[in-house]
Amino acid sequence: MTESEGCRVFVVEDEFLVALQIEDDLVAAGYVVLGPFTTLQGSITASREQKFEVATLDLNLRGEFVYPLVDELLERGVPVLLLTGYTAADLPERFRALPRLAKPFDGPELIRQVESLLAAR
Amino acid sequence: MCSAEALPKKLESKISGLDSPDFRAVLDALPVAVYATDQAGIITYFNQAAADLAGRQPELGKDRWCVSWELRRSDGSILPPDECPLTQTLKQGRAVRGSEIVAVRPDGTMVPILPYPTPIFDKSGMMTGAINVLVDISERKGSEVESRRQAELDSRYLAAIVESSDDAIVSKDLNGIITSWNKGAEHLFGYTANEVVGKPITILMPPGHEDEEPHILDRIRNGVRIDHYETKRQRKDGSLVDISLTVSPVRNATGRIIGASKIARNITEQKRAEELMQARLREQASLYRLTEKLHRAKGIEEVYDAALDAIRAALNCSRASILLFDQSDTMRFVAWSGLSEHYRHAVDGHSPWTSDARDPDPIFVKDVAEADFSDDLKATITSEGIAALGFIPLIAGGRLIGKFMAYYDKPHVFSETEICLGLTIARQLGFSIQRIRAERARQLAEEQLRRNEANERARAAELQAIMEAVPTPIWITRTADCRVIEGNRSAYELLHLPSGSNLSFSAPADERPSGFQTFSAGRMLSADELPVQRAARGEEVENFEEEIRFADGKSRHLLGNATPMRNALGEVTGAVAAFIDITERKQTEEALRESERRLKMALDAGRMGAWEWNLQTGRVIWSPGLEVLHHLDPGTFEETLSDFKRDIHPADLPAVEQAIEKALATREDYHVAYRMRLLDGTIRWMEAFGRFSPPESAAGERLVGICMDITERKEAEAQRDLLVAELSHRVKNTLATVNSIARQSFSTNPDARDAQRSFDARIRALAQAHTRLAEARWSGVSLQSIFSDELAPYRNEDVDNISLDGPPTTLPPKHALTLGMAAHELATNAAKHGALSVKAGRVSVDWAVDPVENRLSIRWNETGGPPVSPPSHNGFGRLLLERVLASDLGGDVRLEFASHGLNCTIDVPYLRGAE
Repeated sequence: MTESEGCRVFVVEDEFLVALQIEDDLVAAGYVVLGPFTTLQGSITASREQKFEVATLDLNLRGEFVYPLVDELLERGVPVLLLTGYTAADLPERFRALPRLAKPFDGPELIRQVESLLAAR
Repeated sequence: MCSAEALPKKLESKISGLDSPDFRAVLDALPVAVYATDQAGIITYFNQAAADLAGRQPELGKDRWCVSWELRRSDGSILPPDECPLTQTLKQGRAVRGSEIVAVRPDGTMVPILPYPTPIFDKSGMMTGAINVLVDISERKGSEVESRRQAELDSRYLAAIVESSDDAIVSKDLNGIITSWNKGAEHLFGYTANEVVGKPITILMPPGHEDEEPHILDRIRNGVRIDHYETKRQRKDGSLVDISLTVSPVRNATGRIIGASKIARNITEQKRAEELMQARLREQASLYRLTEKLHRAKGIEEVYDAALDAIRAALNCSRASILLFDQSDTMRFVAWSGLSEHYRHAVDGHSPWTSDARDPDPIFVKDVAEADFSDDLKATITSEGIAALGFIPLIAGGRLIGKFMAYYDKPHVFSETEICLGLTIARQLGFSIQRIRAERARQLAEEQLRRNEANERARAAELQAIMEAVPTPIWITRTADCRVIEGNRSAYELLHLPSGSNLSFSAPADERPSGFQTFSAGRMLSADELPVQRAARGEEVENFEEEIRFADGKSRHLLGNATPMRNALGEVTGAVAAFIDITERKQTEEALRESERRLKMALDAGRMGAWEWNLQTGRVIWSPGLEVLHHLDPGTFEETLSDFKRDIHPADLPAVEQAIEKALATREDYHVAYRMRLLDGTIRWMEAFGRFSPPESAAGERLVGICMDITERKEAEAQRDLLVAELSHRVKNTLATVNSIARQSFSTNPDARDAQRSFDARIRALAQAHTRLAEARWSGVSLQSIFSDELAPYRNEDVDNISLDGPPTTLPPKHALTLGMAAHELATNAAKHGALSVKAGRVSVDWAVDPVENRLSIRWNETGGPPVSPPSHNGFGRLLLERVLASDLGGDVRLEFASHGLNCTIDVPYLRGAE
């Protein structure tokens, strides 16, 4: 896991139990977890203040969609992994091609996706 | 008595001495009246017989010429004395004989006398006087003397006749020497008697007739008379004269033939007349033949042939032709004889008259060389060998129709006869041409009539067949009173009546049809109101709609016309009516109206509108309902496609246009959903369906369809999509939560069985919260029920170990779920380790809402339980309470492990009614 050493992952997830599991899996794989952030505003603010290499984003934050943050991160060239229960058809057109992990997911899958995003960076 | 021949030519002068006494006595005694005169006619002597005859005593030396008182001719007229026979003797110096006269006495008696005056000459030959013997002939009748006198008279008469005859009377002896020659002969032949008496008769013979005379003489010698022998003789001047000759033998007293008398009559005039007569006869014959032929002529060619023959015969010409005006009023040859083709071509169309000439006169050109023709024409005529010609107009029906031509090889003077004949032939020919033409016209007309009759019979049969065959009921009446009305097969079938039965309600009661009645506009019609009856009164009945109602309750609707039939005088003689059965149409119309009504209802109810796009005209028609959908006032849609497109949302316009193009290209149904943006900014979702009308439709190919407002449906769909997505999101989140719960439950509890029970209980608690949410349709769950549910298993009503207290507070789903799980952990913990693990233990939950700070504060208090101590490790319950509540609800959780039991305070943002 040398590649993941010190790699910071920006985690946005409003469901704390889910966020807990994401955090556990990422930490277990050697990543540094920023977050989890549970609100849109809070996550946007944090993303601007902190430095990270990749982000896993829940789409629906208590009714608010995370799209503004996605746009901002893509603008900054930060790889984004969408973690959501929505299907592609439910997404705005421009986000359908983004890497997406459907809930519920298991740990190894999450790690593999994050790794491939970092590798393609 | 004495014959003329026996009379002495002269008295010798020796007997003129009347003074001799003896001679005088003899004279005095003679019973015959004798008197003598001097050369002046003065009576110098008369005897008694003369005085007796005269009935008076003449005066010697005074009476002159005659002893009689008065003289008359034998015809009774007065004979002047100076004209009496004696006077003639004195004047002419010769004896006069044979003049019978009548002497009238002073007493009025008359005596027919025959004077014998004879001149007296002296020795020197000088006439000195005359002596006259008057023979009383009154006594001669019946006597020989009378007979002989009569013979003498006859002879004299004959002589007088001979002398006065216009016929030439000539006598000749048997040698042919002329012996007498009368005035007529002088006149006829030009010779005087002196010139020819004693000469041979042959001087009259013209060359070629020399042998006639011996022949005539032979016959005369044989006593044969020649009667009316026509021959020619030559006059003194050399000209020939036609004569008719009668030659008779002359016999002497003994009967011997001594000569011949010839009577020649000039028959030149007669000859000419005869020739003229012959010519007339020929002409008449030619006209007769022409008339015959024309009468028999079957065709125009025969008419022409007959006419050409007649022209040549009657006008004595060698060639002839007939020309008629053709349809362009140009004179064309129609028949000819002896004309070259070259000539006909050269003069074709030439005419001295135009077709409108009135009564043109014929034109006769007696000598082409002198005619007033153009040089070319003259050359043409001359080269054809024509020296004279005649143009005779042909008139028919008072109109110039052409001409016929007579051609002569030599100059020709046209006689009156020829002209008259020409005109006669022209009349005949014109009449015949007209007759043939009229006949042809009549035949054509008859043929046409026959054809027309045949056609009409065929037409009538066709009409009858058509009438029977048409599926349209027809009524016909042939009388104005409509007593009988018949129908065609369709009519009888319609009315369920036997063919041929009377269909008239105007018929006598026992003949009227039964089983049906006729209504119009819901009212039963009387017989006079029926269309056939109305038409039979002269009315044109058009588009009359009626209903035949049958006894069985069924009915048929008919639409049709009735029209009067009239004779040539315009009087109505019947009527005919033809109807079409519009029952099905009426039903269809009714059904269509019903269908339209339903459609309108459906459109109104379904917020739909109908439209039609005519592909040929480009016109787009909207139903009023569609205009309403577009927020347009009725009738303000401008009926163009662009007017329609104007309302379409720009983002959806390409899709609509693509759908239209696809439908046009494939002729398949048109279906598209789109948004329209109305003028007021409203966005409405519309869905349109269209189908092409059959292309053979007379109105042109159309795309017809409906448009409905699907905004509500679209919104519902969006809502549903949202819900589905939300459901998916929540389910998956829940599963992720379950997943996490499982991991926490099993990873933190070394006792697998205990972990299993805890996990099951947590899932049930989660499920319980979901159930509550579902019961409330996810609108929120009461805080009390969350805790009540979780604490229910441990509730002991006997000891009242659980109390819940707080205002009615509704929790949003997220709060409900999280608090539900928290309540579960608290209740489970209390039951395992806390107040609810002993009988005396109690749990009280109270809550309050701070409306100013918008916070919900919940307090969990355990009392009466075993002593508690903080747990040795962070179990799931604590994780959930401390971190999940804080994180998920943004709340603040404090756990106080007091000796009497656990106190837990949960303070979370709460906006009343925020859900």
